[in-house]
Amino acid sequence: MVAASLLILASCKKEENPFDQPAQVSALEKKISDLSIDSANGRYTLFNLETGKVVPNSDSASDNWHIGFLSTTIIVNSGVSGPGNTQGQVITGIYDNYNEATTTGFKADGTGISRAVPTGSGNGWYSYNSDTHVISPTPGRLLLFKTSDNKYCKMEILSYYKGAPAQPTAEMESRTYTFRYVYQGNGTTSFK
Amino acid sequence: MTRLFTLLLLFSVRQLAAQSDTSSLKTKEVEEVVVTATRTAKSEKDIAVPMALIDGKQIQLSGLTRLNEILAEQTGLTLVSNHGTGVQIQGFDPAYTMVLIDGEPLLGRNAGTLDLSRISLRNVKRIEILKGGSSCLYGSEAMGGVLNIITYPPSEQLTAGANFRYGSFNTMDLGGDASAKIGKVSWYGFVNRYSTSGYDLSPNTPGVTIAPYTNYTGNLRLFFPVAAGWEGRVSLRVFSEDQKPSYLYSSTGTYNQSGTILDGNFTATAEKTTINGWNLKNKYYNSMYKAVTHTVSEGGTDDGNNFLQGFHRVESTAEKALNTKHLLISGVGVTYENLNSDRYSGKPYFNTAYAFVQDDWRPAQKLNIVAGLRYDNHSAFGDQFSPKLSVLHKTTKWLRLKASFGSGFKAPDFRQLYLDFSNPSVGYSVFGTRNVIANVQDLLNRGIIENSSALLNGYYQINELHAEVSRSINIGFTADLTKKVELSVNVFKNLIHNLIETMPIAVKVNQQFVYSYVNLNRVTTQGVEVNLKSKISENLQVNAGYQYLEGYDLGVLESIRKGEIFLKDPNSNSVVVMKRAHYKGLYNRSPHSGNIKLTHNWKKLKLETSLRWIYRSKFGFSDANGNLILDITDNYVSGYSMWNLTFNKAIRNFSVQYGIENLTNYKDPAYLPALPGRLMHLAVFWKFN
Repeated sequence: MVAASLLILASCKKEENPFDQPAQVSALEKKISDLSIDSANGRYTLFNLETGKVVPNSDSASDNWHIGFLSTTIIVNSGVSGPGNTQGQVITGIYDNYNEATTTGFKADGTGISRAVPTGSGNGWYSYNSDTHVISPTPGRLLLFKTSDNKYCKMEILSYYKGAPAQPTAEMESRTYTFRYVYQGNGTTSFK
Repeated sequence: MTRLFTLLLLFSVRQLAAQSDTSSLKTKEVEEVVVTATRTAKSEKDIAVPMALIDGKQIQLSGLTRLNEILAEQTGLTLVSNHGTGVQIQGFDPAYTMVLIDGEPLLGRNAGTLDLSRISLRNVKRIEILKGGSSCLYGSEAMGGVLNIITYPPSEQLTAGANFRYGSFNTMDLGGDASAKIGKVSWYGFVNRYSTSGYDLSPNTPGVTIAPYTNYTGNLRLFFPVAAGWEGRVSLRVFSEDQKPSYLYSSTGTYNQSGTILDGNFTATAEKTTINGWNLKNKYYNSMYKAVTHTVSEGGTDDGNNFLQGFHRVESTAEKALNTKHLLISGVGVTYENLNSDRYSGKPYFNTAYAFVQDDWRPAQKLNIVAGLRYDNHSAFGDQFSPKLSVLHKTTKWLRLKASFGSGFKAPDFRQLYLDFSNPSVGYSVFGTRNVIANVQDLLNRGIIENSSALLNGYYQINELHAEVSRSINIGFTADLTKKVELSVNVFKNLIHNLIETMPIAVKVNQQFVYSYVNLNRVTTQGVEVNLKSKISENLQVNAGYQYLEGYDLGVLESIRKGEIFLKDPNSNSVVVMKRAHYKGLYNRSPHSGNIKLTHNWKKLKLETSLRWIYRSKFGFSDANGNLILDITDNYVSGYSMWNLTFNKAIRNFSVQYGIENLTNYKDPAYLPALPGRLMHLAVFWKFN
């Protein structure tokens, strides 16, 4: 028993910190903090990726916006969601290391399961914790967008709670997005 | 390799010990007879499946009053508090442990947990704990194990007892029992009252941790001859609890919360041993569980709940020894369960019919094989076969080798199939899979869900729920290292399929989720349990136990292999691909746990002392970075240990007891609200026989 315990102890060697590598941040990166989603009226908060600004909902029938937020749902301006042709997809990868956009796999918005950014825990950008009822961005999920004029964008959602706390609880004010993104305005697929 | 080495080490220790023993005669011991492992009375030493035993003497010496408290001190059992206090066995959640009183199941689970603090220890003669899949004998729920609480039967002589105990937080336990034979009827009666003022671990925040409550337990058992050789047995147990009103503060307002529980169990048995050696038993069991809660908001509206569950079972078993080599037992039964609750749609019910057979076979003097099979037909999900095989080999006088294979299942419960609950203050809804489609359609029609685009992927995964299923393997041995030292080792592995999980399936206009249930994960638990019993001298007994436990989600392991899971530092938001070494398994499982118990009897002073040390290592509490699996960045609860000490002094027919639980006053209010800190008590017992 002593021998067995020693073996068990020996196998638990100290791990090095996996987050040691410093990340290279693109000069194009924008960070939007605490974008509050007014979902009480059931209307989407619309957002223009190029300007980094919210577009009034009265402009929803235009091509002035690229993506929209309503609670955990993110829409793109195309298909059933809008008159534009901004398409999107969710990919698995590391935001900092993803420097070359794919040109395939983009899709216009459909309903239910055929959205550009699929809804539901684990399918799209977030995971729902059934023990704590907290909504957290799933690590390693990137949102890619291709606008009507073929500009590429990568995005990472950082928080769904006000102030982007490292340890949110279900009681905190939610439906408040903090995210970072790189919008490549020169029409290439490079995010550097 | 390690195991082989340990075994070799053991053999050499034993050889040394044997050489030092001049007399080869074994001291005479009283053999403990147990009933849970095979449903027949059998000596504990002849049991091949892993089991633990807590006897009445141990319960009395511990000074503890409720079932959860004594289970916390047993090797391999870990208390888990979630909608009540349950117990984790071999890493299984409390929902997968069957709780029996005298062989019959208790009702009243809340979110899967059957609150073990409902059960008084005062009339408990013995607790038998079976580990690993045991659905072969007990049907649904017996996946992680079975707790069978054996209560005192009527005695032929006149006996009586009474007790009074007072302790910290105004905790009072008072009651008594009596037994006698009048004419041909022997009877046993028991009453108990337990009350506490509760406690508040965080006085700076509104509300209390545990609200005051009072409960009563009563039990009456009668044994009597019926006719034509049939023995009759009747038992009635009643439990009632009253939780005093207390304030609950949540993000949505202040509520005044109170509640009552009423639990009744009735058993009638007729048993006969025929002249040609058949032992026949017919049994009727009825149980009801009623819980009423009131949650009154400041505006005066009561978001309360009425919950009434009923259970009926008729069972016939036949047992017969065929020559000296086979002991056969077989049985058939039917059950009817129903539920009536504000939070469930309709009046759901289940019917189950089952049959089981077991052969306890002794092909050679040293070898015992027990093989069994059970078939369950459940009205909600269909058929289930549960096999079992166990082998015991008495290799030498001092060594017993054991191996067993068992299976377990848990049928989808009323909640998972028929729940129809919408939280009026927060606004979310949870529906069972049988009514979710109709309820979602209704919410769509009423505009509570805007349109089909608000349905999440989970909605399209809704399917008929299957039973959750487990397979367990246990391999081990018990060795009498010396006349006074016994060592038991058991290695276990459990594989669980089709675990039922909650899943968000739609978003309402109020932006809250609609949830339902789905069969999802496959997990495994494995580990080693080691127990050492040592009678150091006539007056001093030392027992020690240790469990090493691992638990993993097999789907997660596969995703890590494929590089699909990522690890995020919640503070810097830096993300890396997750490696196997970063995954720490299932939440709420301590890799290491153990206990050491010393019992001393100072005969001259009639003073018995019991000192117990209980340890549990660090365990995962919650996800901190959104990948929902336990990794190195997550929140852990620190490992801790507790000392419990009790003194018992006998004076004629009385005994006086003083005890301290959690001597070092260990507390962790944020993570362990069930630990109130140091507790003291004083108790007096009176016994007449």
